[in-house]
Formats: sequence, C-alpha cells, structure tokens
Amino acid sequence: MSAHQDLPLTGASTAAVGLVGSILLGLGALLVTVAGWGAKTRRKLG
Amino acid sequence: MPEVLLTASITVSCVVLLLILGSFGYGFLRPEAADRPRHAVRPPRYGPVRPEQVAILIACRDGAATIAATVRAARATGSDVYLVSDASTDGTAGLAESAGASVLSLAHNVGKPAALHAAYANFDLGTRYRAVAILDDDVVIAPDFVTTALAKLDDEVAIVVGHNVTWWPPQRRWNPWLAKRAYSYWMYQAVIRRIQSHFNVMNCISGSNSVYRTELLDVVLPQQPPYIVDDTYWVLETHRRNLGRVVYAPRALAHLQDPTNLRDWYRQNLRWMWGTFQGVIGHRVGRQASRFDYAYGLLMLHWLLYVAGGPLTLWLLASAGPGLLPGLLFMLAGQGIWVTLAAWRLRHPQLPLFLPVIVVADLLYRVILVHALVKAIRQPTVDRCVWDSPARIAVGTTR
Repeated sequence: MSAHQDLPLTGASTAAVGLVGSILLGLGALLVTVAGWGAKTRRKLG
Repeated sequence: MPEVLLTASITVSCVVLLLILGSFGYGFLRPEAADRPRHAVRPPRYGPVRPEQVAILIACRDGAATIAATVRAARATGSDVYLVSDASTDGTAGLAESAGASVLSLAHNVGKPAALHAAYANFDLGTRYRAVAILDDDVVIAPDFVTTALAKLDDEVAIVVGHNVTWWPPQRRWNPWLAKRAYSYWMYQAVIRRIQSHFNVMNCISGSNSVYRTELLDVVLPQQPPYIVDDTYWVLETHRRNLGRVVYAPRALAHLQDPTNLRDWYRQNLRWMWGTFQGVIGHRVGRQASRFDYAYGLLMLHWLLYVAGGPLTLWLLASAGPGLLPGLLFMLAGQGIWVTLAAWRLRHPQLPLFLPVIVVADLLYRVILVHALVKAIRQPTVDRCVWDSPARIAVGTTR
C-alpha cells in the first residue's frame, strides 16, 4: 500500500502552506526574471 | 506592537531587495546559467498501450479469505491475471487458480517486492505486455479499471494511480476505523492527489492498485527496495531517474480492505509514514532544485504545521477567545462540513456520526508522525521489505 493517505487536511495548516507556497513561488518567479535581466544587461554591455 | 511590525516589514523588505540585487548580479556574472531552460530534462516518450497489452499481477501471502474475489474482479476486466503466492500456507494458490489466475508459488517468504519480481520474470511479463496493473490480494477493482486507467496513460506517463475506496460493508457499518479511513481517502484524493497529479509531484502512490509501464518495471522491480514501503521507493525512483509522469485516474475504482481496529490502524500508518520518511532521507528530498523537491518541501511544511498546529490550537482555545468548549464545538462544526460532504459523495449517510472519532484519530495521527520520524532516523533503511498486513475480512461473510 501507500504512504500518508490517512493524513487529514486541517484548515489552518493547509491554508498556511498554500499561502507560504504561493509567496515562495511568486518570489522565485521574480528572482528568475531579475536574473534574466542581469544576463540581458551583460550581453548588451558585452 | 507597532514597533515590532515596523521592524519586521523593514527586515523583510531589505531581505527581498538583497535577493533581487543578488539575482541580478548572478544573471550578470553567469548569463549562461540564468538563460538555461528550466525544464530542459523532458520525460521519455512511450508508445500507446491497448487493453490486451495489460496484465494484472497480484502478490499474495495467506490471502485465502479474499483472493478468489480479487482474482474474479481482475478477470472481469478482460486482462490476463497472474498471481504470486509468497509461501502461503492456507490454500491461496489453489483458490486463485480456480478463480482463473496463472499462479506461481514460492517456497520461501521473500516479501512483496521480491515476490512481484519473481513472478514478473517467471511469466516474462516485461516482454509479453506493455503495462502491468499491480494489485494487493484484498483489492476488488471495477470491470473498467484497466480501460479507465489506460485513458490516462499518455506518452509521457509511466504510472497511473487508481482511485482508492474503503470497502465498508453493511456488516461493518459501525466500525470507526473504516469510517476514518473512508473519509481520509476521500479527502486526500479529492485535494492533495489531484493537485500532485496535475503538477507531476506525486510523492506516494497506491501500491495496491496502480498501472505501471513495463519499461518502468524493468528498471525498478529488480531492485530490492531499501524502504519498508515498496511503492514509495518506486515513485521516488521514477521522479529521480526521470522515468515518466505519475498521474491519478479518479475514475479507475478499486475497493480496498483497511484496518478495523486501533492497533492495526496505528501499525499500518506507522509503517507508511516510516517508509515515507525513509524515502525523504534516502532520496535526499529537498536537496535538488526541482518542482518535485519544492512541492515535497511544502508538503513537509504542512506536516510540521499540522503536528504543531493541533496542540497549539487547543492551547489557544483554552487560553483566549470564547473558551475551550465553544472553541472545540466551532472546530467540530468546521470539520463536520467536510465529513458531511464526504458522506454524500461516498454514499455513507452514517459517516457524520463518526465525527468525534475522526477528530480524536486526527490528534492521534500527530503521534504517529513523530513516532515514524524517530523510527526513520533510527532505521533509515531495511534489509528486507517484509511486513505483516492487517487482518482481512473474509469476502462474503457477515461477521
């Protein structure tokens, strides 16, 4: 059989994980975009 | 209080600003790394599979009470059914053969994964078929299980996970552990499994009722799983070796037998979570920059908040707000909405009556999580993937 399928979803912890996950995803997307800008700037200068 | 908020917001802003500057600098200094495609590693492309190219393989040890019903249901799909009896002593092999399965009887108890591998090699399933549905000996699948699962097996998919439904017969309608598991399965599959399937980050599959491509089984079956849950090892290997997507088929129905008493429920959950934590340690989950690791990190954060959140909520209710009793009633009402929804979907109108049991079991589950973590730290691998299953209910009896 399989693992942790008996783990219940309780409102507060699930919502907190959703919130943290969304913030981290947004931050990650922002940082990747900014790193792309850095690379673009380097190519323009070089 | 305002000072704390001010300090916190300034600190967070500074950290974010530093991260942005750092990212820009990283892109500037290493443009080739910043421009690297994020999803450069594509999963392999597999060929289509027709229903007649699917075999069903069942591993069984002393399953005489249930095996005939399991084999009959498997035969009803139209697929060829193979069974390996792992040194059974109760007539399992004969019953399975009479029900229409091709049987391999092992003389010594080797455990489920090794028994599956023995049967896979013995019946030459890897070359004769393109996919194999692996079932437990107490699982009764729907007649359209194979065709419904195949509908999800597109060219990137390596594993299709079936839909678990607790077998909750009228004779056992007041069993609280069946009620708890029926609700948990419904909730888990309705939310987590669907989300994980969509993003291909499923960290646990149903070893009792899933369909695997033979290309995948050729790789994972010969290995002896170092964890106490074999399918946990398989799914982690599938992700780590990029062997294909793992998806969920909500319409591929399988009825499962679940624990009927506290001892079996605790022991089974402990084994599952022990295996889960062994996988986290052994496969170094969280050490790679991948979508799977990110999603698993969030899941572990959920576990942490869940374990800490229970006692914390009780303490908050007792020390602040309307008081412990009204607070508990409020929480019960919230949980009651979900349980009522499950009762409607599962067509078990008695389920809401088990609400107090579900809440108590929910608190107890936190103990299991901590117990399993300690066990995994002390014993991160096993030499043999062998365990005792919970007691089975004989199909057709009215106990």
